Amino acid sequence: MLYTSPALETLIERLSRLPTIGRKTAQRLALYLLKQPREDVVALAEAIGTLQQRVHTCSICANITEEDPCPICRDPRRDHSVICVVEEPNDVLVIERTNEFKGLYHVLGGSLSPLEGVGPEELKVRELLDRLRQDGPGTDGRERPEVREIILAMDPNVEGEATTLYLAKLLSPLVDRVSRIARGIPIGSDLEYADEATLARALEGRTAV
Amino acid sequence: MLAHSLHLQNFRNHSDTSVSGLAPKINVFVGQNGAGKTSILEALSLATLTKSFTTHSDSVLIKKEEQSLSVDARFQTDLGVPHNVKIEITLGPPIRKSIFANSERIRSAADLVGIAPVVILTPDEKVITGGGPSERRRFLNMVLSQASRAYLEDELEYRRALKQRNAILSRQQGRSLSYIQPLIAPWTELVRKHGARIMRRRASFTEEFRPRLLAWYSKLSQSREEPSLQYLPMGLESVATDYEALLASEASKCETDEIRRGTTLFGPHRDELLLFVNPTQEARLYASQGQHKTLLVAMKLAEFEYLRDAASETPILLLDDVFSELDDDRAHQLLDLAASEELGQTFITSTERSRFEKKLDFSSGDHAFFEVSSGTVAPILRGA
Repeated sequence: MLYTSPALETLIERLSRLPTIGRKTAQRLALYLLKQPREDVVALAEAIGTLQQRVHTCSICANITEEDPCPICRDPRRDHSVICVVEEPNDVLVIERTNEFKGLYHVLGGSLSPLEGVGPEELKVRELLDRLRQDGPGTDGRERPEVREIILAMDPNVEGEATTLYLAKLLSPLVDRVSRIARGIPIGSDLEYADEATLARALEGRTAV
Repeated sequence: MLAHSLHLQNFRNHSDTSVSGLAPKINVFVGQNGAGKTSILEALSLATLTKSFTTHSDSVLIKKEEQSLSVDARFQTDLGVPHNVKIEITLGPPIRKSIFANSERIRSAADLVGIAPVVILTPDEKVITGGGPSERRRFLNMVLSQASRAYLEDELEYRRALKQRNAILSRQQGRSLSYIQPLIAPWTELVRKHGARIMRRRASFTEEFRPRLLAWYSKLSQSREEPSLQYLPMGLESVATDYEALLASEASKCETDEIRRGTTLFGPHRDELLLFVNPTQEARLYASQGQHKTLLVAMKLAEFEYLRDAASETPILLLDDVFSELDDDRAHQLLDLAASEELGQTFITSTERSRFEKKLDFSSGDHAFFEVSSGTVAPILRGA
């Protein structure tokens, strides 16, 4: 059904282009916005409007940032000899929340998927290789400490696995150590409730104690 | 596993059909062609395998002019634990399928398949003994993915990796080996890794299945055929058991050919499972019509037994319109077996009523009789 207001109709149409939003949800959101105080709606519109102006990707790690280089890359207290490679900016947030990792990141922007036309050229692989080359000072003018370890933290699916294998082969000659995050039994769960496949992977990736 | 009740909404020609009072042994659904008998079995297939056995397309299951369907199936495990499955399919685009087991949303088919194992026999299944290699690979996948979750996960990941690898080979067709090699290398490794695991399981399955097949065949047939089966990894008569090494050597052999043809030429998607009616006679080439039928039924019964042991749960047997295909002797034999303690709960569809009325005692409570007509199901009362 089309609404009588073209403005409302335009908003519904725009909203329904967003991921996970169907036409019905778009209608509900549009009608909700219509009833909200004007200043709230303007604030939302402004937030959306300035988003792409203010947010950029870091020229070093390709994470999203408002300043370039990003605060993580500029932080002298972080360990600049370790880089954790992830697929998406979201993954940085998740790992940061653990408070366990003090190194730097590199955001690839996805994983290898030839079916969707994504090869190494479409990901920030060349940028990663550039970071590992040790010629001259970094963009901030200071000498960059040598990168010793790369941690690969891809999603645990076929594409993530292929990306891990690809990068491991490419990067091993350039750094002391290439590692990948462990996969296995979630904390707080029971071994007997783990499914065979997860358990098989956990066994495969067992570590010495 | 026992199915207690089924509820179908907008499923094929069923607008709103409840089937309760399912019996622990044989449940017969009679009705004319197009009445909606097979849909009952399809709904059970959906609730156990997450898909129909007649079609790959979920959208055709939705009743004409409706937007969504739902199937509610209530089961009970051998140990008496309730297992309830609800499946909803909504027309898109994109088409959406939601699966719930005991009210909890299930993310992957692998979380459901195998919990309630099923064995399906329909006239279409005769391609298993008479058709090409892909039909027997489908049979292997059907059994093994219900028997082992790890197998199903390997199979799903294998298929995905294969598709990705093929995408490179077909898009870069004709490029030089040195250009393509680093691009396909990670996918080759994944195809090899998952492929080797699939092959290992297929090989050991063949060994475990052979004596069961022979035993069931001898039970069904008075003649002295000695059926057997042989697993040929990638069609090779290989005695190697190191499948990782076998895949690696095949992979390097076909590399240039793959680039020319633009597709992956090694891996378990090229496996063959040979089926013999006698030690030197391949069923596909030498079996008579009757031998094909006996062999197929023996395969299904051996599948039942294998799944029961592997999944530690009695499978449900779905027999869709098979009695019209069998001669009287074989039909009676199968019905006797289904009624015996050797098999579990069985669902049968048929257009003819008298065979079952004569043969089965519906007053005992072991069996139930339903009439299906234009999308409705009604129990047929005792003696009616």
